Amino acid sequence: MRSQLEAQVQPSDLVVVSPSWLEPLGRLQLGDGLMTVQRVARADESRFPVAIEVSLGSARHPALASWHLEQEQSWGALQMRRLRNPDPHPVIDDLVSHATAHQMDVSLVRGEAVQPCEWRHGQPVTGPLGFGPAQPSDRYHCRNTWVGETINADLEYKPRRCIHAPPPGGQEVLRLRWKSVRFGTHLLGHHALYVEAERDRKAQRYALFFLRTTRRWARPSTRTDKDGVRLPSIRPPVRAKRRNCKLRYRLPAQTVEPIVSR
Amino acid sequence: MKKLFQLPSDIGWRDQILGATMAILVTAWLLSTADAIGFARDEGFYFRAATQYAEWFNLLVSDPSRAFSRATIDRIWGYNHEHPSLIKSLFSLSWLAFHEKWKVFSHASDAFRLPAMALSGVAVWVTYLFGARVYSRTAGLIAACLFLLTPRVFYHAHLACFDLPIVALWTLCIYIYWRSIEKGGLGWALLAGVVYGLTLDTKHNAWILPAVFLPHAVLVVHRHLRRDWKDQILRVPTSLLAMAIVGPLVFWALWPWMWHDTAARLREYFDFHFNHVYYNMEFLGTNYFDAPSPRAYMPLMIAATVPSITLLLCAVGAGQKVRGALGWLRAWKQNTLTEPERPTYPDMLFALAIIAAISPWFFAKTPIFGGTKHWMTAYPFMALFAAHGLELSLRALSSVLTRWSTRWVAVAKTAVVAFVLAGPLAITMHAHPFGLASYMPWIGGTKGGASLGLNRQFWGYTSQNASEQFLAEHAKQGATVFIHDTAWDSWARMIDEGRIRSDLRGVGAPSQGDYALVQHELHMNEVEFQMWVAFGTRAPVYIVTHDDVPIVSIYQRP
Repeated sequence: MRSQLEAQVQPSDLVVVSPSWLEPLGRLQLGDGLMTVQRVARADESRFPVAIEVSLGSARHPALASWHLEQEQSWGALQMRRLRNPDPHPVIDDLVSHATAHQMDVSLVRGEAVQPCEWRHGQPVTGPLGFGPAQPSDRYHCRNTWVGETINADLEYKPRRCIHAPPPGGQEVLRLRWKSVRFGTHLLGHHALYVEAERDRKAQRYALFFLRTTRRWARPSTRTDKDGVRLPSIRPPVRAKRRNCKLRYRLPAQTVEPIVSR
Repeated sequence: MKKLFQLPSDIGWRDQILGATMAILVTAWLLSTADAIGFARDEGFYFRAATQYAEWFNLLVSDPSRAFSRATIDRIWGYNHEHPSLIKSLFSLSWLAFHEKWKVFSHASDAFRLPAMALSGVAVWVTYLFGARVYSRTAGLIAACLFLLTPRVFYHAHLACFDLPIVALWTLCIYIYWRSIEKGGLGWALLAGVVYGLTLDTKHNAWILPAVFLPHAVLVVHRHLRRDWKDQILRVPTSLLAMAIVGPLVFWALWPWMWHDTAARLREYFDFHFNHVYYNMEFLGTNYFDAPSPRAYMPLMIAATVPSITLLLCAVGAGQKVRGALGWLRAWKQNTLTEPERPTYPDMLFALAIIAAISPWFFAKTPIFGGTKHWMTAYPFMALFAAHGLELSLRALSSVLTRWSTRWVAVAKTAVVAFVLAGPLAITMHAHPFGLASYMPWIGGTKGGASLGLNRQFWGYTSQNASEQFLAEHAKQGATVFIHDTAWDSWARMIDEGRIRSDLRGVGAPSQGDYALVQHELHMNEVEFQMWVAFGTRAPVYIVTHDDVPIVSIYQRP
């Protein structure tokens, strides 16, 4: 089955295993080549034009319910379905993939003062339940926090590949600047808090901005809607603890620089 | 000699021997199957508590004045003082006697676990006696079997924890109270008081028991109420008074931690349980970690985890009793009540025992993290109603098979009983040692439970299975293993007893391990995602499964 799938699956295809409890066995059997981090820890399914669903019996992935069935095949108790996305949004460039030393700068900004964060290679750092997202071996060190690509558990305990970029607090602003990004028509993004921060309402209020790089950071106008697009302020919902506060946003393409500030 | 084995119609010492034999057989069965179940998280804490308390028992013999000093008590009994001492003391004494002194068990864990296993046997014994006295010996036997043949009861019965002990003491306490009402006399009343004290000293569920006894006592004395009111007499069963006075004294006397600063420590004890931390628990795909708890949790989990035949028969048995109760109410309204068949109302006592055991989970504030174990005190009484239901069904069968000879009717009845017990037996054996992952066939079994988003395990007891099935053979010498939810004391004991290869070293973070375990629970996903980052792979090297459903994934550093 694995070799057959490897022959069929295109890099742009999504591979999912249903029901969700079967997925660990799917990852064991299909391996990292098919179960890439981009597929397993995807932000959503919209970017994939085609999905290959391996399922047990009649199990279906709920997010693929409206996708068109193109092909179906059985392997014993398992079924393989090729599904086509009725409304795909192909991604020209992925900012998470640019979260490296050569393609992204990270700094802490307070007024005019800009303190660059240092890119370091080290050991990954993990911990027990409640530790938060793992710190990858390659990451930016920003005084008492870090920025880098990791996998976050969202409020439903689903894996989300993302850039960990916590607001530094106080008057300080965390700035991530990508050096070279190809643009399409829209900037499509998601953000979420680490599940325990969100559900236990530990997170502080913060704001996320995307700004055009042609403007100087320190100019007040960069914070206006005219120069950049301000996203809604986000804080964990006060009562609805089990509601996902993950946001999905769609912005005009000229915006490239997210700023996270308290 | 033949007469000796003939059972008279009255329940007596032969039934006690039969019950005791069942208890011994149950204990032996549990002992023989205990090796397959790794040490659960809480067992690790209780192993430590028991070992620590053993120091005090030794001091009690060697230097009593030091043993009773506050400094000694606080140092030794301060550990795990959020739970009463009786059962941990039994773990301790069992360990001292059967492992340290007489070397009956080569593994300390068997000695630690023995008291809870023996008390599981006691629960079976008392269930039999209750059934035999209230319905018939057959009903008693069937009730005892149906109670034990519940996968989660069977799982918890193995553990050095309080969950089956409280079932045993809860059932025994209700039994002794009922006998005291039946027989009367100071002896039974005092015994009820002592047993209630032991129950209080087992687990905090005991504080709910007045909700069983008080309404029942009112029912028992209700026919005298009008006259007593006129005569200004308050008729209170002596056993209730004994339980109110002797019970707390026994509770206090057997718990050294409470001997000093009693009021403050009692307050702390109640505060701890009234404001208990909400641990995570998955239900229908949602992780619950705080109030409000879902009200559907308890009824659905009972339906999903107790053998359906037991529940069906319970409905038959209880249904017949409800009809009887409605008739009683009508007669009471019309003032035509006659002398009841059993003036001690055992069926009402059973119903109250069930209602009191499950009712906390009708409140949204009650945490659900214990799965089904916190209301297992209801199960002996559900089994008793089920046994009564089976008897009613067998009676109905006899009335249908009027043309059959007595012998063939007996054969048919025996076959029905065998079929009724076969299902729960098969499902209980199949679930072992993954009792917490087991769901009934109507749910779809373990797979169905997983598909519905029901919890598969807690307490991290499955590290042993990961070791047995993979690490023992494949891990390199001296490898480090992230032990996930397994408590350190549990891991250490599994190493000590050779359940896990002795050269393997546990670590507290996935990135520190050559191997990392993830015991699959919804909220534990976040730990698995850390492994993906730390090891750069999403593919485990091995997965322990039950009915093809992942229980533990093992990741290896590339």
